[in-house]
Amino acid sequence: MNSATYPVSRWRLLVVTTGVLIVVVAVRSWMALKPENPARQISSVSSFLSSTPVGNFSKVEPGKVLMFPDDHAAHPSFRQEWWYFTGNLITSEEDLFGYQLTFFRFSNPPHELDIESNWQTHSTWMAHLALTDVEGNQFLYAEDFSRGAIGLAGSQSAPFKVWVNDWSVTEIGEPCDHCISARVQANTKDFAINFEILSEALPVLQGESGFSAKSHDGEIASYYYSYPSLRTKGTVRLKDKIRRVTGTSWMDREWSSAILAKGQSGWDWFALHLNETTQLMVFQVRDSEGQPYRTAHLMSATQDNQYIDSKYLTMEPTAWWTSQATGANYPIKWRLVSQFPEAEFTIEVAPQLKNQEIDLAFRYYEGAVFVSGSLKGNKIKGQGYMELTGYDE
Amino acid sequence: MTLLWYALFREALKSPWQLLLTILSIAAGVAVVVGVDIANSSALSEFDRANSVTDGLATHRIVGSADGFDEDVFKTVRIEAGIREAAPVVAAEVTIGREGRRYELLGVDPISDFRIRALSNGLNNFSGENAASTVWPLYSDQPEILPDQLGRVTVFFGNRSQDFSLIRSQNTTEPSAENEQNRLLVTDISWAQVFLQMQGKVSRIELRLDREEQVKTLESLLPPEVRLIDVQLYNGAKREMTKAFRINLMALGMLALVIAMFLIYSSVSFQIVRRRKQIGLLRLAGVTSGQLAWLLMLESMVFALVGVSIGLIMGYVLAIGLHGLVTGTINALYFSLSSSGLLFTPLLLLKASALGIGATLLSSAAPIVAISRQRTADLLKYKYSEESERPLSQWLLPAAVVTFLLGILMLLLAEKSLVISFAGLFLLICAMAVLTPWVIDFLCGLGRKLKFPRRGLLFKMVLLNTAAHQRRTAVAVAALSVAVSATLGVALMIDSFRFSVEEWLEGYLRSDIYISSQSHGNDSFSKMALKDISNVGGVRSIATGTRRTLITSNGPLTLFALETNEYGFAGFQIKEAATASPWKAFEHGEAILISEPFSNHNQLKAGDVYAIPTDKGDKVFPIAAVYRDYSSDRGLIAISRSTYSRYFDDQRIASVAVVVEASAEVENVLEQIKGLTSVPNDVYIRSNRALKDMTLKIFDQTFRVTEVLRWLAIVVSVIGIISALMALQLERSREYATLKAVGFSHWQLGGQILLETGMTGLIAGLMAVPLGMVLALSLIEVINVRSYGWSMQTVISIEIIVQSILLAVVAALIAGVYPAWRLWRTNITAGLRDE
Repeated sequence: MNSATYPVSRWRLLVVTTGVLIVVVAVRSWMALKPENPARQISSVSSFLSSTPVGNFSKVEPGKVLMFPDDHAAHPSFRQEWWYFTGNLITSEEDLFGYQLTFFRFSNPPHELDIESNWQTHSTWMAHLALTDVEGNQFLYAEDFSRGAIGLAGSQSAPFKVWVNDWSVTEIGEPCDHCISARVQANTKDFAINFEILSEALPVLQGESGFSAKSHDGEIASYYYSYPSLRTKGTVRLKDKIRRVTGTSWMDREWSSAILAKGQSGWDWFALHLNETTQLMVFQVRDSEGQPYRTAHLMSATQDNQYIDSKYLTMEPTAWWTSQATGANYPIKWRLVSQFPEAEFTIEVAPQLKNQEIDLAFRYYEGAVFVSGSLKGNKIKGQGYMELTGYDE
Repeated sequence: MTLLWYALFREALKSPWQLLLTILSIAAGVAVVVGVDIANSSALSEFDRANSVTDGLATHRIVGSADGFDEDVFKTVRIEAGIREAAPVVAAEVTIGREGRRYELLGVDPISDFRIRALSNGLNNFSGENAASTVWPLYSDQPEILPDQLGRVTVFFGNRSQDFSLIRSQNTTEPSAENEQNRLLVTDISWAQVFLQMQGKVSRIELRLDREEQVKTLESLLPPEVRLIDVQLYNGAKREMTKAFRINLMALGMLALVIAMFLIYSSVSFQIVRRRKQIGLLRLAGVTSGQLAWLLMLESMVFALVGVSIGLIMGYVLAIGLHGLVTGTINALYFSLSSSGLLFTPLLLLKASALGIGATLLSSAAPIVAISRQRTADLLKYKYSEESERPLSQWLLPAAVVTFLLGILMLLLAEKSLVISFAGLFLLICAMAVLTPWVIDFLCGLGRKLKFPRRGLLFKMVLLNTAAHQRRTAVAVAALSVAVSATLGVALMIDSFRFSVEEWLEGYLRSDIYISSQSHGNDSFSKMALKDISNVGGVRSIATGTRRTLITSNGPLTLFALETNEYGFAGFQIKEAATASPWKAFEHGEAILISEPFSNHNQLKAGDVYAIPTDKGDKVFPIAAVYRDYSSDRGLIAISRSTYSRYFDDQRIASVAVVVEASAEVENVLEQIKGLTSVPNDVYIRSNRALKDMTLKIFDQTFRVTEVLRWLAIVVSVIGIISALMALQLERSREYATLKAVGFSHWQLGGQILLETGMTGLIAGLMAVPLGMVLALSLIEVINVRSYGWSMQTVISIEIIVQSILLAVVAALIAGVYPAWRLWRTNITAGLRDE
């Protein structure tokens, strides 16, 4: 890796790379030993991020045509990938909930020697589950790990399925090539989710037909597609109390082998439902030395999708919140402004609950938000999800 | 009060030897108890600590066949039952170097395992980068494992070996006791499966379940060939296995304390009686008897404190020695336990101190109360009248009889309680001790009636003196006879035991050559090997066997699967049978045989049924017969190979017994078998004789700790008898001076002293014989059956009895040496000056 500073895709890469570190620490030291979180031992994420990847992984290059349903399943020749589900939900009593369920896959540094054991694996899996209970003023989260062996964790394309132990997203009903219809379920002792999600629309290919550049020179990139609007209905469980909910989910699917360079300090990422038909994805990668790298994608079921370049975008925090648990200080309210012709907007983002900090293998903020403001002169009001990272160092 | 105290205490200090011996008696008694207690609790804590390391936070465990079960069960647990705190383990006992030290190799899935245990703290800091490319990684912080230049160690499993790359945590410079303790080697589950040839299988799954419904869910989902067991129950049951052994040890330790109590009583009595004149004077001066009693108790308290302090130190030193013996025995009999440091807790200290002080005060109370009741005038009389005490003896006999009967009653009614059984045994001992003055009187009276030849005067004097001083010596004699009887009882028991085992082996081992695989892994004899052995010239028939220990919540359950013929089967010494032909029931009727300890522990008889958790689920088997067996105190279930194969997926054969043609030479056949290529080269091949010798050697080893404690009891009592007899003889120096003055020679007087002490010893020895026999009988018929479930034939060896009597006499004679030597050097005037 050269000395250039690479802007990198969303902070999720941090999740991935940290995850890789977990794998290295946990799997490669073959023993995770304290009956608490193994990743707690990670002292410096950034030192790992600036290290050279071990092994030869496939490179993300433009021109590849994404195939469905094949690309729903894992790509072991790449270093990491994820299946990212978030959603905003409501009960018949109009109580609001938000959820996140993410499956991460990391390729282990390749072994020279293949031995005859089913436990030999090239992939390690991690999953995160979080639930925001707005009325109950509580935020719950959990993680799980597994090696991709003996069927404990994995993915498949037809019928589509991705799972880590007993947490899974499984295709239901009639299979179709581009749409998605699946059951999302994960549970812990304290809470659980169980939904059906459905999108009749095609997946949205991000970047150039799914090639999503993450740096100016395009050296660092990922394959990336989304289902930004998935009809969702099902239940959430809090302790023993089960609530029926309906709402909208968002699925992101990304795989790559790239690693960010020094200088990056974190990401601010937003997946917003502005109204019934329009979604906005916007993020910035903060750089301790230079200008942040920003990009936005305005998606609509009725009009053409619109990319918005960094130079038209401003993103400024309007309120901060300090976590009592960790002391980290997060910008939890934002004003997002686009001056791009035909796609002007001014959007205020506010969390549905202040404390949506996830303190697991590593610390970040991921939570349900309210959005309000204007788009092309029209008033909008909606919900969405926000990720903030790099604020605890 | 201070002045009074000073007056009394200075008087006590006038005989420092006496004081020293009193304190030594207390110290010795406390030391033995402390020693045994430390050794016992250290062994237990090692067991618990080793478990906590391997079990971690596991509350339950899924186990299956000896060679593991399908790894997909883990998937069931993790995905279907949704249990997060679950970790698969592939485990086996391995060695580093071919004949090297044994370790447990654990193959774990680190990403699951961290939820269950903390295997080693040091490895946490291990930098992942180096390990990333490691092939055959092996984690261990055991400092004694030294890798070669390439950082590799060779691990052996049976006759297979593999070079592993040793990886230590960064801070291995300081070997910790905990690591020393674990004897664990850790690798990834995938490498472990390949090395142990357990592909597709796991040995167990560790679980942490905190809700009852998780247990229920799991039980409904698990396939029949695996079982869910409760780790705590299992460890508890395993711990329980050693309980009888530990109680037996503690009883021997307590015996030492009881003996010490007799001695403390004797010394304190002496200390008081010696000062009776002074006490009388103090009473004349107006000191109340209550005040005096209080002071004397205080004085005993001081002795107790000093004695206990010394005893604690001595006990610790003793524990160092005992500890190895205790751990060794537990290792040989129950489970592997690595020895680490001694456990010396404040609680243990407190317990021992309380016991020592309590025993001293209790033993001192009697003489102190007695002197308080004496009339002042009597105290001041020059000649302390022992006759006045005589009426006491009137109720000695009934008291002894009542105590004796109570003891017998407790022994009989104790059912399974070892503690009550031992309490009963102690009452028997007390009853005999109470009888001591009466016995001395009786024996001396008997002696006096004899017609003596010339020089009979001296002997008569000895007899009269012994009888006259019995009030003083009775307690010491009782202590000695209790100690000697205890050794006699234990020796007779061990002798009977050994005899029974020897006889049992003679009948049990009917084959001429025994071949057994030494590794506990899945190595076994191939069909080829069995065929080759059968074809060796001179081999008449072979039988095969496998011992398989099932893990159940009630602890380990050992099955002995046997393929034999009627000749081999006759080796079972049937105690009771439910059918006319147990052989037919065994071979064709799916019936099992249970060993005697198994029958005793589980209250099962021939004709009952017993449910065994087989690989095909629980199955109830009829019990055809109960057979004698001394190979396991927990008990065994013998099952025919055909029945076993029907219910267990286990083809292994762990041992082969060979019967040789009458015309063939055993050594010759043995050599031929050794030469067979199909027979694994790491098996033990032994002749019948060698196996018997080895078994008896293990037997002797097992009783070494008993042996040691027995001798400790003797040492305590010898200290006591020396203290008591010496005190008596020293007190009589004026009497000896008078005798000297009237013309007795040094030789005559020295002889008289030795004869008197020898006589006392002889009385103690003679008394010990019936008591020892009663003890032996109780140990054989009650304690052993209750502790281990073994019955045995009682063998009374004259040799042991004579030895015991001699022991008593010699101990007593030693006590006479110093007074005799002192008398030799005293001149008459000095001895008489006191007047």
